[in-house]
Amino acid sequence: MKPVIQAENLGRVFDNGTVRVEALKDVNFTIGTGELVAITGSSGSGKSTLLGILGCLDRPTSGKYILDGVAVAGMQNRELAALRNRKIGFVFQSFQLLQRTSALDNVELPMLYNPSIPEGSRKKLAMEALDRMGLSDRALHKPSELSGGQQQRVAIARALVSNPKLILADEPTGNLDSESTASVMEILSGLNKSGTTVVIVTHEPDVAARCRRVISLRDGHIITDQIQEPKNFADAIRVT
Amino acid sequence: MTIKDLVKISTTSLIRNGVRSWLTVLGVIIGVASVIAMQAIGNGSDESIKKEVRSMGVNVIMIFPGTFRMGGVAQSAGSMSVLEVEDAEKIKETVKTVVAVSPIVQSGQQIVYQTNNWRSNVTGIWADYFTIKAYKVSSGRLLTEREANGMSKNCLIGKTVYKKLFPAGSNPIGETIRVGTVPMKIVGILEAKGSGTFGQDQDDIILAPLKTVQKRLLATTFIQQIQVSAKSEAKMTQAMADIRAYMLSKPNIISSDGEERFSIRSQSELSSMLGSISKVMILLLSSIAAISLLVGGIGIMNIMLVSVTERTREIGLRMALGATDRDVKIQFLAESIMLSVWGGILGIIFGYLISLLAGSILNWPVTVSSSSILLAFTFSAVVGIFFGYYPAKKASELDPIEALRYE
Ligand SMILES: Nc1ncnc2c1ncn2[C@@H]1O[C@H](COP(=O)(O)OP(=O)(O)OP(=O)(O)O)[C@@H](O)[C@H]1O
Ligand SMILES: [Mg+2]
Repeated sequence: MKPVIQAENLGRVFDNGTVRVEALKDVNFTIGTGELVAITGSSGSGKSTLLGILGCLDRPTSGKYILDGVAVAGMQNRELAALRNRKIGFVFQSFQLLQRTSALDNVELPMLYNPSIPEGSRKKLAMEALDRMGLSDRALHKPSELSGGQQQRVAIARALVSNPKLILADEPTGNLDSESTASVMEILSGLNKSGTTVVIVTHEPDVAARCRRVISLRDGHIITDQIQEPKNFADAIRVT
Repeated sequence: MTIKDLVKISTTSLIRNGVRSWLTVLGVIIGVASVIAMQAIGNGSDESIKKEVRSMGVNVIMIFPGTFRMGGVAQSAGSMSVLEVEDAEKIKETVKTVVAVSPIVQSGQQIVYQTNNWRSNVTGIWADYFTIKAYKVSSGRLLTEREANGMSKNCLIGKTVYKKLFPAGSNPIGETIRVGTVPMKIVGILEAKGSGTFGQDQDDIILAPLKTVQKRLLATTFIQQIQVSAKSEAKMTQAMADIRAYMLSKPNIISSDGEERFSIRSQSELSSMLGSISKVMILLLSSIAAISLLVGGIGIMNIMLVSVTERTREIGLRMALGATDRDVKIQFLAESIMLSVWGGILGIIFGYLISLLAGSILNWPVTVSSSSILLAFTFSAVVGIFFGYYPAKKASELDPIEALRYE
């Protein structure tokens, strides 16, 4: 399978002059198209740091990162921005929706930075994405008028509106109750089944159990990288 | 991001912070209003000075007894006798660089026609005076040379005098009015000259033969000044020198403390003096404009810095979604330009109102030119760009990961 993500000896050092933190050390893995991967590990193990690099929001201080066959190292910030816009959809723990802005306008946001999408078709595409999330009747609601689960579904609609190859989610269920967690995981694995590569950072075993592959980090290292039979989410909830 | 997106984003953000936005643009409003008012008043005073100079006449040189100062003519006792009708005659005869000469005597008099009363200035002149001051009549005729230089009891009245004495608008030509104690016949109405630089009414005037005013009204022989028209503008300096030479040839013309007991002035000197008054006003308004645009600009910078901090997470999010640093910079620049341009538009409106007000108070023909509107508009946009650049640059330099984590 064609790899979407190739990480070769990735390292990330934070050095503010007095304190030096090695957040990632010698990280190697490849994620192929259509995989559903969980990255787990205790707090401070480097999960978010790794996701930042995979999402082209940050650069490794050593090693090589190849996204969809393109080495990211030599790229300008401007090219990275375009890469994020066309190839990656982000989902955050705290939703990161613009308050006082309707769900529809929030979903439209990434298309503002994609000149290849004509202005006239933005609303329609945003509406379709909301529809896929079952939120067409909430299009004109502000985030404050939506439940946490609904807000995260708006955020997922925003992530998938420009048909990205890769969806990166950092603790997408961290702020949600179990019911909303189930529905968000349902949506993410549904997207994965339709061909999108999905990487989820989580420390919830239920969420990790739902993924075919689990990469575990400790102190910036990969300690395990396992393939497993993903559990149906409903089963997983029954177990806990 | 299209221009439409930019306008939409900035407008939404400015409307959201309504009061804050208003307070921020206040400085720009005041600055731009001063620029507009400054221009309008400056143009107006130029215009009124030109008009004043025109109404003063053609290449006019004035000879006064005493020493001429900013505040007027300082007349020492007995200085009146320094200037005599005979001097006007001699200047006309001997100075080749002048074409018209008229002695002048003025006197405030009560004017009566039937039941109507008006106090006005009666000016005694020679016929040359019409040439010097470029006087024309709007009806009737001017005084002939025989009349003006003799003892005729015919006179000319200005528009204002006509309106006061003939409120019904009847034909005054041939009517007899009483000037002080002397009955005089109106032969013409002078063409209106409008108001002078200080708002004095130049049409509140009666012109009568010099001798008539001297003998019949005042019972004196003195004159207050002599006005002369030089042959051409180029000959002005020469004419002034010639007149001076003539004056100095008179006996007793130097006072005991060595001062000349007369002064010679040209209209251009007077108009530059008038010009300096409006220059002071322009300078004052320019400094208000500059200071308030500076303060307004700093206000915009301050509020934009606050806005960037408040919206750190939004900036991080936009970057994660694919905004380049340039997109972010342009977004915030658009907002500050929007602020200052709105300030500019409101300032133009306010400035226009101020100009109208100033115009009606100063009695100047105040005009707001399209070039000054353009200037003010450009000025405000430049303020927006200049003071908005730093906050916008700061926003564009944020690190997306840290910005997203910002609480
Ligand atoms: N900007 C930074 N400057 C300095 N150190 C940093 C920075 N960002 C992260 N670190 C450090 O790098 C290590 C990994 O952080 P990271 O945020 O990736 O952990 P995480 O696995 O996502 O933890 P959590 O589960 O709590 O979110 C931590 O020790 C953290 O203190
Ligand atoms: Mg984290």
